[in-house]
Amino acid sequence: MKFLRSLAVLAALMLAACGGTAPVSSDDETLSLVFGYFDMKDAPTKVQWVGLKQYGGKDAGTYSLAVNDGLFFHVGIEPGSYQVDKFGGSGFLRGDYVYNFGGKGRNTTAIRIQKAGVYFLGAHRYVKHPGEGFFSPDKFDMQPMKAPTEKELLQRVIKQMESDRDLAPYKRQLRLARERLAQL
Amino acid sequence: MRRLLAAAAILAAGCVSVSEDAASPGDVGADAVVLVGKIEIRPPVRAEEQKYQAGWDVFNTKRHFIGRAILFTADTPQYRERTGNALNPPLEETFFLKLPRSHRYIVKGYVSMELVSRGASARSGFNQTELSFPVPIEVDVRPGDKAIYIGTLRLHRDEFHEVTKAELRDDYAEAMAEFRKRFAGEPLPRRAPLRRVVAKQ
Repeated sequence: MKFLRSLAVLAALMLAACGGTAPVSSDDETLSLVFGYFDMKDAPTKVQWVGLKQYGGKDAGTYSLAVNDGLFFHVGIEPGSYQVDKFGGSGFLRGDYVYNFGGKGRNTTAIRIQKAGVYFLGAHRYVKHPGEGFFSPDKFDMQPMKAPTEKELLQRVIKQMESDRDLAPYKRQLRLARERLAQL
Repeated sequence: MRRLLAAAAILAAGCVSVSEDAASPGDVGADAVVLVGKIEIRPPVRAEEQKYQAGWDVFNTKRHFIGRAILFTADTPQYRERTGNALNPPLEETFFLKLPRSHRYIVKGYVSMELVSRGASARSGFNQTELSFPVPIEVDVRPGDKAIYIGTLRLHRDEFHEVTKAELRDDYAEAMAEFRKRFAGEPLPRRAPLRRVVAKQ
């Protein structure tokens, strides 16, 4: 399980250059740490990846973030405007699911990164629309939640960054995360 | 084939009647009116911003999405994902469209920014991004109207394609110059500015 988790983190780092294969530079001081949380308890599948789309630029693409027990984060987000556009996962009975979240304007995960730092996309709960059936995965809301809090989730991010070898080079992001935690 | 059907379903499901242009008075029967107006998006939607990829497009469905808005109309103001009638005005230019008299409400309006098939499987679905209009909007159609002028709807958007401000401008003189060229000899449209329907508490 731990091996799989490390693989997922590594894959996320490799994908960090908006779908490219270059790993995130640990020297680049313009990059930000971005994190969030999805509670998919009432969804047809769990969430295994989150697509963070850049808006307003020249087809800058989408960062793919790995998910660990609802928590997702990325250490190499460039300045720009972003929101979660899609996310997905799979279940044994339901197969692969892609959930459209960013299809109609700005949603509650929207952020503008002008300065490198730590950005929280919020904690959200999957809420199924009443009356929707088995084959309607796109009829849902992502409702903002008060818990887990930014502080609790940032503590989890820091713990993971401290323990994961692949994330060890990102000392600046870890320092920024600790500074932010001290403010909360 | 599944992808084609899925793409066509976006507009054609439930036999949607789409008005793209009313070229002459003969295009509009007694049960409809000519709608004259303009939709502007600020900043304007650039061609490279709109993505459409829905497989084999034998009906050229793409033309409904690129450089145009899609406005679903109905006889009641309740929001619906689609209805049996759609207006399909070009953006940034004066349009002349056919509206059924009974359809006094625009219940959904959008510009498609992305409609891309994720794969051949029917369950794959689409990546879909829309610049959604503030709705419902009431169209003031009155008995005796043959043509009405609804104004220039100017929508300001942010980088997430969220409408941040809506303005209605009166560009009647400019629109009438175009109306006279197209509908020579016909009475000029009555001014009937669009009205936002405010939900009752």
